[in-house]
Formats: sequence, structure tokens, C-alpha cells
Amino acid sequence: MLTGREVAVLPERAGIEALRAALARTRQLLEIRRGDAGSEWTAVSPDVPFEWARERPLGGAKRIFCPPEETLLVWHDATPALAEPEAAPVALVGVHPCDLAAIAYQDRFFARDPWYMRRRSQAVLIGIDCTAACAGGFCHAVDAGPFARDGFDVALTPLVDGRVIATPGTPAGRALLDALGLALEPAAAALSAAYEAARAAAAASFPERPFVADAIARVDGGRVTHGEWHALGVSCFACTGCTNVCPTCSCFTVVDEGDATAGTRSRVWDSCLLAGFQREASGHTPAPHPGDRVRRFWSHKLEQHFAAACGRVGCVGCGRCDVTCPGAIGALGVMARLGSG
Amino acid sequence: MGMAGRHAVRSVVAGPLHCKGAMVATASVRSTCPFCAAGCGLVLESDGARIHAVRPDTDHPVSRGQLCVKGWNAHRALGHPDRLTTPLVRRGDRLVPASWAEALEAVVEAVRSAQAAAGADGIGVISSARATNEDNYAAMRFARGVLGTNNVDHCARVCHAPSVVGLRRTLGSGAMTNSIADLATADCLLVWGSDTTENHPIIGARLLEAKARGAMLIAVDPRRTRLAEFADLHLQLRLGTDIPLANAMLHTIFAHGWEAADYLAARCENADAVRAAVAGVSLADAARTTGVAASDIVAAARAYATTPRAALIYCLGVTQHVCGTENVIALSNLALATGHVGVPGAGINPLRGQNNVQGACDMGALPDVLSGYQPVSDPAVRARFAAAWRSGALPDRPGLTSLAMQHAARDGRLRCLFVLGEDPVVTDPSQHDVARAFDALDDLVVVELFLTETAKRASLVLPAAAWGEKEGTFTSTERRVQRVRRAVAPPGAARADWEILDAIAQRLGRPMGWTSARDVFDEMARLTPIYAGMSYERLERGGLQWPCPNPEHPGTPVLYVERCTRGRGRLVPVGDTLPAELPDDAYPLQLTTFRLHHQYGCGSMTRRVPLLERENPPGLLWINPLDAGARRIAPGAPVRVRSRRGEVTTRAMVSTTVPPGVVAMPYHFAEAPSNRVTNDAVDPISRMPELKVCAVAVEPC
Repeated sequence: MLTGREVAVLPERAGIEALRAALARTRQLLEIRRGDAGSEWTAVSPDVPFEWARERPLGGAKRIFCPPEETLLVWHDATPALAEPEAAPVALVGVHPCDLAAIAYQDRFFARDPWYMRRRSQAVLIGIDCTAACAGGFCHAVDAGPFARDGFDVALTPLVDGRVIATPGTPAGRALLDALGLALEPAAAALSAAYEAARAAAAASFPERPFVADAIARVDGGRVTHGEWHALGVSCFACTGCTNVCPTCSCFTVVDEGDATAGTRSRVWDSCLLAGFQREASGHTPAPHPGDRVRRFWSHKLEQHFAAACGRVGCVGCGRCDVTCPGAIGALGVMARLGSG
Repeated sequence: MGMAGRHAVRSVVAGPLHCKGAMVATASVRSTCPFCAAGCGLVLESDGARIHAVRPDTDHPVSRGQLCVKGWNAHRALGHPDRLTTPLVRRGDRLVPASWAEALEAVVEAVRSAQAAAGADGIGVISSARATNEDNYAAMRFARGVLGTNNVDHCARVCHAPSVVGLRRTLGSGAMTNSIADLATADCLLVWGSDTTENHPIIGARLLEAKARGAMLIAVDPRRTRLAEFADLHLQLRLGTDIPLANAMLHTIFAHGWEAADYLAARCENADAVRAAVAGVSLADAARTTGVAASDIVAAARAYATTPRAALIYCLGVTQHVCGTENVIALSNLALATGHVGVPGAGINPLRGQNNVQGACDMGALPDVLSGYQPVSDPAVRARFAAAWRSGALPDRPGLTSLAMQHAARDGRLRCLFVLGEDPVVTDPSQHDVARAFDALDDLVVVELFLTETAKRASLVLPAAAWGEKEGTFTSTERRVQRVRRAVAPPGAARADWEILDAIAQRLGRPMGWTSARDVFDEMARLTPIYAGMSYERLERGGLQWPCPNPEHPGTPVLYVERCTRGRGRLVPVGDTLPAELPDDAYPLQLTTFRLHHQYGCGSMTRRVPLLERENPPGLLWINPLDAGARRIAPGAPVRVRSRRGEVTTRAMVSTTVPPGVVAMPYHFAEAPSNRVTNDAVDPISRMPELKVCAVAVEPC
């Protein structure tokens, strides 16, 4: 809702180029580009025009702040030293609302993690609202889109008439718009109406999937049977793809290499779908069957009570897990089997 | 078709980022997974010096954004501190670092002295199913064109040799007839002796896709595999009763008139002999022999025979038997009798094991054929290669297989052996004999990533570049030729196999004349009709499936649509053969072997990945609760597994995935090597050892 918020208006989409140029004066621009190796976050020059059609990259923005592996500690001559990441100022331009919600989720998790925060604090996030559903996305069903609520420095909302509403979400975002000479004013009624129309059109573009709400309610209410979880567990190949591409997954394991004299300690993405994830030294594990692990994963993604600690439910509806799961039990795959309607 | 040749930094990149914290990958390079033969597409993300992540290639025609856990971790063995970074030469009982110049001079010395002592056939070359096509082609040209011997082979002998031999007899060549994506369009899947979701996970995913679409899934396996859990019919046959089951199905098909009569008449031969051979089969007897209910045999026969798009998929559960070749022929009979060969969504589909075992065969790393299966015995073929190589006359008699090379080494006929990227001391049967053979050589030259057990016995060790460190191609099980690309430089002085071999050839005065992997590929394609239409440009996106005879040809997703390689498909009667060793009072249980989804082969790469190692189960002997209870073996208890050949100790995994009377072990683990107890009896036709069944005793210890 724009009512009561101060916003600026770019008269046309090309107005984003001035924003990018301003950001690029002090930061490296990162944008989603479809390259030779698929769609991914890429370092770009402001001289290359912005691409509004941003395909959701399978890798996502997660790996920018929480890389698949990173060195935490190095020791030589038995003397340890913390590995300090060098993080340059960056601006992510064109973050999808689902990923904004996910970054906010990870910000809470890693709030006291110096490696994550070193990188995160150097980043400006420019979100862009999605004016139509993407293939396999269901952000509207988990309150993560298609329009961003928060988690951005500036959110851009493209309107059908070519104008773009720029909404600051932080003092840094406001300063950025000020520096561009854009007037920040409370949204007029007509502008609010245009925004709402765009939002309604975007929401209406999602395919009807009544099983989604039903499945979420069943998982949240603990009404999925043991047998149903175990039937889903047979489809889990333990490939770790879902946790690797999930923008809110943050579990890692710690790996030491070297010996007592010299070596490194790294953290590496882990996965709760692996049998060894929670196995204790005795061999006991609280989630011995694949079905138990599948249940744990989806409980963490869909149950409301995690929202109290994490700020929102764990699933942001991006649909990446459905792309990468060889067992067809990504989010929509699971919900289609658990939900009715 | 993309931006040829430029994969590292794209034009939109402003320049190197001033951060080491991996804010974004500075280079993303498309490549092909180095593990199983599914040939999944992956992207290597690096900072230019080190690959720090793998992600799936969402555009890949086979894997479509999916990978198994091995693929997701494929990069982790590359930057390993155990990698070889410099040539090593033997000084007494030690291997000491040397320069390339010193090492190459020593290789030349070894070659000259072996040739002087024992002639051209006094040297052999063992190539690698893990290496690229370019490396394998270089190895076979090096053997034939530079050394003048046909003594060149690789490890295909212990996985699908029965397929190569059996399908060559019935169809004309031993490759998968259809494509992985095509399997997802089948309406009936007959999966025989393949634990597909664990060993070829992304192919397994396509089978489950077909099942979800409504296809009937029939799993033939002595174990209750994941696929069996999904199957409409699980034919849980007794170990080694594949032929009685296949013949009973064939009998049922003929008895009900479900065979494809027109297809048999138009495209096959010898069908009447097979019809007569199975006419007398008794379903009741077959049910008793196989342990599969007669009604299930009939249901499977009916579904497979009467569904037009019915695919037969098989793997090592069929081949690793004393009757492996006959097992393959029995399945080929089924596919031909029902008219399923040469048809989309159907076919006979052996799933090859290693990433490039198909390519190593295609490249002619075999003693009897040059690249593209062109026989060394054909003078016209030899003349064409000799002219291209400017090598003089090429040897015309088939060379020695890898096992025969070991015999020749023990006899003193073979004096020098090159081993590229294989570890026969660990992977070949009868470890003691292999070691003795290698110790009898004057020189053992090993080209390797790591100092393997074989490399430790070498007189010369040359450091090789791995898959993420060089350009090249792999050929997957569906005959798809795909690019692998260099994401980072090889460690230290390591080089690609083809570069090393060319460097040796130069010093022997017979340079092969290549400056890039592309040169090697182009030369190979000119001389290899099934690859003739391929080039790196054409392989840029998604690759091409052979045969691809000219630059306009789109490749061949389905083989034998018009005719088989040998013309008519041949049906061949096969009789029952019992396993070489049956249970008795002393060894009352049957042992079979299998693979775990998170490990690969002998584990030289996967066992160096902590996340994969952590997945190892606490025990390695799968045993049914009834058998465990009778022996007072609790879950996780230590057990001893004994056979007539040896014993291993491990812990028990008490599980109903194996039936009573059967125990099962994975084979990846040097600390509990299943091959210490397995049977070395071999298939007389293909020389495949019977790794899938032997008799054992199990007791607590």
C-alpha cells in the first residue's frame, strides 16, 4: 500500500539509468543477466542498458552474501588468524520481491555473523516489483510478492504507462533518490490507484492453484500423516539441490583442512536432507528416514510458528526447488500431493 | 548458437571485482559432470584461480537444472592438496620430482629400450574412461601411429563388455539405442538390474517422470530398490535367474501371440529358432526357479509386449554374471520379438557407467578397432589413418586386452606399460597378480591426478590435468558428445593427457602436431564417420548424438529406425546358466554387490569430499531381519562376511531391502572391499567376472 508513503516518480523506464549511474559512481553494479552459462547475478557496467526482463536465476542472490564455501580461519605455525573477507561496495539492481523477502530472512539469521554482515552491509538493494507471475512462482501465496513490502533500499514499481514509482525503504534509499533530485512526496490518490491496479493485475496473473493454501494449512496444522511424509521421502534423492537453491536456507557445516601446524577452517553449505546432517557420534539421528527429513524441511519452510523467530515463514514462493528437484518434490510438487482443491 | 570460444568473462563485466569474498563469480564456465554417464550439464563458478561452486545448467537438454549430490560437489576434488604437480622419476625405491625435460627424456629411453628388447608389441597403453575423447584418441594414436602397436585398452571390460559383445551380435553395436529424454516419453518401462535413481540419478528422475505421466513401471531386481518402491510390478527375481525370467516372458509373448509378427518378418532373423527354443518353457518351473509369481511374469510380458512405446533399460545387474553376454542376448530377444528396437520411447538401453566410457570405446581405445569401431583388420581403414598420420604402415592384428597385457608382462613379452588415469592395482580382480605383473615390467609410466597405488609402483609418474582444467569432450551413455571446458589452470606443471602424449611423440621423432584440444577433435572427426559432422562450434550448446555423419546432420536420438547396424536384428536362443557358485551348508547366503548414490567407483574423487563421506552408512552389509535374527546380529553389530576366497568385516545394516537368503554390499570402500569375497569366475564370451552373485557365510564378530 502506498497510502501515506513518500514516493518519487520516474517519468519513464529510462529513468533507471540515472539511478544506475549514480550508484555506479561509488559501487559495483550487480544485475541479473542471461549469459552463456544461464541467468545469474553478474558484475555489469552502467554503460550497458538495464534489462527489465529479469529471469529469476537458479543460483539467486543468496550466494552473494552467503557463498557456497568460505574460509573462516587460517593457521600457520600453529597460530590462528581470522580470515577477513574483503567486501567492496555493491548495488544489486533488480532484486525480485521473493528474494528481498529471503535476504531479510537471512539478515536475521546472520545478524551476528561478521562474514555475512561484512558483505551485506556493503550492499544497496534496489528491488523491482514483478508485474506478472513467473513460471513456477507462487510468492503471492506466501506473502512474499509479487510486489515488495520491505527489505529494500529502494523499490521500483513499473506502471503500464511507462512511469516507474520509486519507493524508499531505508534512509540510504531516501538519500539516493534525493541525490538524483527526485521529489519525494506522499503518493497522490491517482498514483496509489495506479499502483493498486498494477498490483491487482500482477496478483491476477498467477494460475489458480487452490491446493497451495490447503497444503500449507495442513502442514502448518500438523495434519500431514506420517505415511504421507514417508511417501514423499521415497522421492527424495538427497541431492541437496533444494537447500542449495533455496534463498532462505542457511545451514552450513565446518570443514578443517591441513594439520595442527598449518591449515584452514572453512564453512560449506550443508543440507538437512542428507542422512549425516544430524547424525550423532553414537549413530543416533533424530531424523532417521528420508520422510522425516522431508517433513523437517517443509515444516521449517511452511509452519507459521517459525515466523515468530524468523520474521516470516521460510518459503518465499520462488519455485527454484521445483526446478532443481529430480524427485519432483519441490514446493509445488509437494503441495500438489498434500493439498486438495 | 552462443558465443563460440569465449566462456570466461562476458562483455558486460566491468573488470575484476575488488573483493575476495566471492561476491559474484568472475567466471562461470559451462561443462559436463565428470561422474556417471548421464552427462548432466553444470556450471563451474570460479574466481579465476579456484572453482568455488558448481551450479546446475538450467538450459541443459538432459539435466534441465538438476544434479545429484555428486554433481553438486563435483569441483571439490579438483583443488585437493594431494594432487600431483610435477613429474616424478624413480631413484631406487623413491619417486623424486623432476622437470618435464628430464621426465620426457626418461620416457623416450624407456620406449626405445622396450622396443629394442621386445619389438613394437613390447609396449602397451591403458587409457581411461574418465578422460576426454581427445585424451583417448591421443592414446590410441600414440599406441598405433607412434609406437606401432595395437596394445591399447581401457576399463570397459568390467562393466558393459557383455553389452558390447552381445548387442554387437544381435544389433550390430553395443550402445544405448534411445535417448534419456526419450525415456521420459515411454508408456512402459522395463528396468532390469539397474538401480537407476542411485547410480544414474538424473536418468532415474526421467523414469519417475514417465511413471508420474502414467507409464507402467516394471522393476526387475533382487533388491527392493527405490525404483521398486515406485514400480507397478516388482519382479524380485532370485540372483542369477535373469535368463529363465526373460525366456518365460518370451514364451508367454509367443504363446499369446503378443509378438510383433510384421516387425519380426521385415526386420529380424532367426526368430523361429528362438520361438522353438522357448516353446517348451513351463511357467510353473520358471516361477519356481526365479521366485517370481507366474501371474507377475505374464503381467510383465503383456505390458511390455503390448505397449507400443515400451523401453527396456538395463545395467550391471544383467552384465556382471558368468552368463552376462547371454543375459544381454536374452533381453535383446525380448526387445526384438516385441518390435521395440528403432522406435521412439522404446529401445534397448544399457546404461553405461563412467562419464566417458562410451567415448573411450568410440575413440578406439580398444585393441581391435580404431576410432568409430573401424577394425584394424581392414586394410582400407589402416591406409586412411596411416595417410592422415603420415605414420607408415599400421599394425594389422588386434592387440592385447588390459588383462592380457598383464599376462604378457609376467611372461616378459611386454616390457613397458603406459597407464593413463586408471588404477588397476586397486580396481582389477586379483590384486596380487596385477602388482606382480607391474613389478615385472622394465618401465611403468603412469599419467595421473593423484599418487594412486598403481602410480606408487611406477618408474615414471606424469602429472595430469583434470576435467575442470582442460578443454575437451565427453560422450555420455546416450551417445551425446558434449564439451568440457577449462575453468581454472591445472596445478603446478600438470598437463592434459593429449599434450603429454604429443610431447613424448615429438621426442620420439613422430610429432602428432596438435596445438589445442580442438585440433585433436577435428582430426578425430575427419577420420571417424560417426563423428564426422561434429565440431566444437556445433557442440557449443547441448552437444550432438552420434551417428552424425556430416555437418548438416542433426545427430541421432534414436538408433536403428530404418535398420540395425548389422542389417537385420538377430534373435539368438539362450539356455539357462546357473551362477558359478550356489549357496550350500558352509556358505548358506548369496552375496550381491551394489552402489551408493553419494559415492562413485573406487572413491578416488568422492571420498575426498567431506560432505559425501559423512553420508556413508554405519555398516556395509545389508541383511534381511530374518537372517540377522537367526544369527543374533543386531542392527549396526560387527559382522564377518566369509567366502571361499576371503573375508571382510563390517557392520550390519538390517533391512528388508534385501530378501531372506540374500546379503548385499556396496563396493566403494577399500576398508571393507567386497571384491575380497566376490567370485572371479568369468563369462567365457566377454571375460566379465561374476561380481553380482557368490555364496557367503555371515557371522557376528
